[in-house]
Amino acid sequence: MEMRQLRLEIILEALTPIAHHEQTIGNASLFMGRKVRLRDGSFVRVPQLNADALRHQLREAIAYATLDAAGLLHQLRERVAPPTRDAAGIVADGGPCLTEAAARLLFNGGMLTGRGDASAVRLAEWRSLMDALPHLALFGGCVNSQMIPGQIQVGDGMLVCEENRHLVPTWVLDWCAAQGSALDTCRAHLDEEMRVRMDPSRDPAKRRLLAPAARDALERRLAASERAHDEDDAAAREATKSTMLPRTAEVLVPGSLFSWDVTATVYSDLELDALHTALAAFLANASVGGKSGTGHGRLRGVVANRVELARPKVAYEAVDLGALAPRMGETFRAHVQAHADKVRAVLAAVDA
Amino acid sequence: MTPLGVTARLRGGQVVLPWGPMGLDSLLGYAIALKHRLPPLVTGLPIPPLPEPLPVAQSPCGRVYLASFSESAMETNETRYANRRFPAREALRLTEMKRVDVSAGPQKSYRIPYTASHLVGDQLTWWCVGDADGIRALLGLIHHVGKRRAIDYGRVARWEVDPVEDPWPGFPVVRAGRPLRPLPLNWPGLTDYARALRVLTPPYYDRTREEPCAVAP
Repeated sequence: MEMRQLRLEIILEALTPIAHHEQTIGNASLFMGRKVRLRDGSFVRVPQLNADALRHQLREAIAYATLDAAGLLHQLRERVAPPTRDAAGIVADGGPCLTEAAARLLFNGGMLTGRGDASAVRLAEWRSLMDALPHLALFGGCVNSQMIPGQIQVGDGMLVCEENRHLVPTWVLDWCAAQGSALDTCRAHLDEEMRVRMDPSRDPAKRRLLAPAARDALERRLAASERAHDEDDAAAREATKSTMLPRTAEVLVPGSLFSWDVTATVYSDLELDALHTALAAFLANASVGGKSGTGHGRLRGVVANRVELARPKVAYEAVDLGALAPRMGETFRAHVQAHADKVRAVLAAVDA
Repeated sequence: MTPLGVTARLRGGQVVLPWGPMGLDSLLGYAIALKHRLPPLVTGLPIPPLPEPLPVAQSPCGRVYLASFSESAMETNETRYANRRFPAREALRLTEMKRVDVSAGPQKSYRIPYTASHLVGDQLTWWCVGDADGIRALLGLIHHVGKRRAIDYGRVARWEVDPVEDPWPGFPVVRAGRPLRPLPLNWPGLTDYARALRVLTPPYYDRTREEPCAVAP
């Protein structure tokens, strides 16, 4: 297969509130934003899903897909005995199977450790790595004192709003118009939530669960707290205050739409399928941001288009995300399954 | 080979240019590396010849390509952060690690600031003497410029390669006595320049090949 450059443009929809924060001021968490130049030349800060976060989610999805296809996750699930290692240091059966370096490579892209010989490009080793871990070519990484440049560029999840109208692809605006969905300002998409971490010592029913000594100490602290309030003693009030923590967070409301794209250069059907696998695995259970434990951050892919870039004329091809997902990844899975021993050997010995 | 002006029209987002202007010859070399899937180069090692020549002319002395570095002006900047956290959750489940130390050593978390910029007119411009069709074909493979391209900084909406009808004296590497790229100190026509250690040919990140050059003051 010749070199191909393509861009997958996807509309994501927030199924639950998105809590993707860039900083906290006091007890208030502010949503991740980016400076955007409007058509009139002025600048405004617009909420967005950070490309770093989305690219990491893709990397994590393909890392798990690789481990699964190589039988390493299955091995972990069926752990029944302490791990045993063969002469090469590879875990033969049962137990956790990755080294620290392998975990860093798969989930973070690795790092230059300073060990080994960085004064030559070891082409055979480079090709062997690409063969064992096809997604490494797409996402890049640092491995065995070599930097492998990535081949995909992941865009921000741009909020489909009035401020981004001139930046999102035309077909996205057309799709919104066809759905009868008018664009609103980014402020209209932001909501502020307040949550409170409760202090169990304030609940008499829970106080009854305490041991006598602990309950006595608590009663004394509560009495001291009341006294401090009565006497308006700021220092004593601070020392005896409860651990209740009210805080606010900016969230993007469910139903918000995001224009997202992934640009890729691929050199083989295997790499193309690895890209599809990463996307399908991510979109199967897509989430971004924090507070996922309380139902935040869930996304779904609504509609997608594929654009061939390295061709004279740009051509859009509609992609049915739902229909493609089950078929995606067959080449990738078959390749990793066939090279499972090599994958294990590489992961056991890798320096990253 | 004809005098040309090359413009990258950015999509309107931000670009990260921590090392300043970019050489057109380095972009074209990158495109050739992309086309032929060449492995990354190692700093300090001999540079293998490219499988095809760059479509820009070389100076008669052969020391530099007749292509300028990019010209652009910052409109506004924003500080962004690159974060890395060790995958502690995965380490717990998938490795035999006993401890993760996020404050020092190989598992350390980091948060590194960098500057992302909007450019005036959302464009970068280069000047060169070259083959317009060859340049168009190679630049068509480049969709992002600058650093942190993996997360979509510096997205190019389109490339424009246009003939320059009336090139100025010193075109394309000197204008009004000022160098538009690092040049040898004895380059003719230089009157307004500073001396600095720079590399004369791509890859420009290979600082083992630095030598005294004339640069824009």
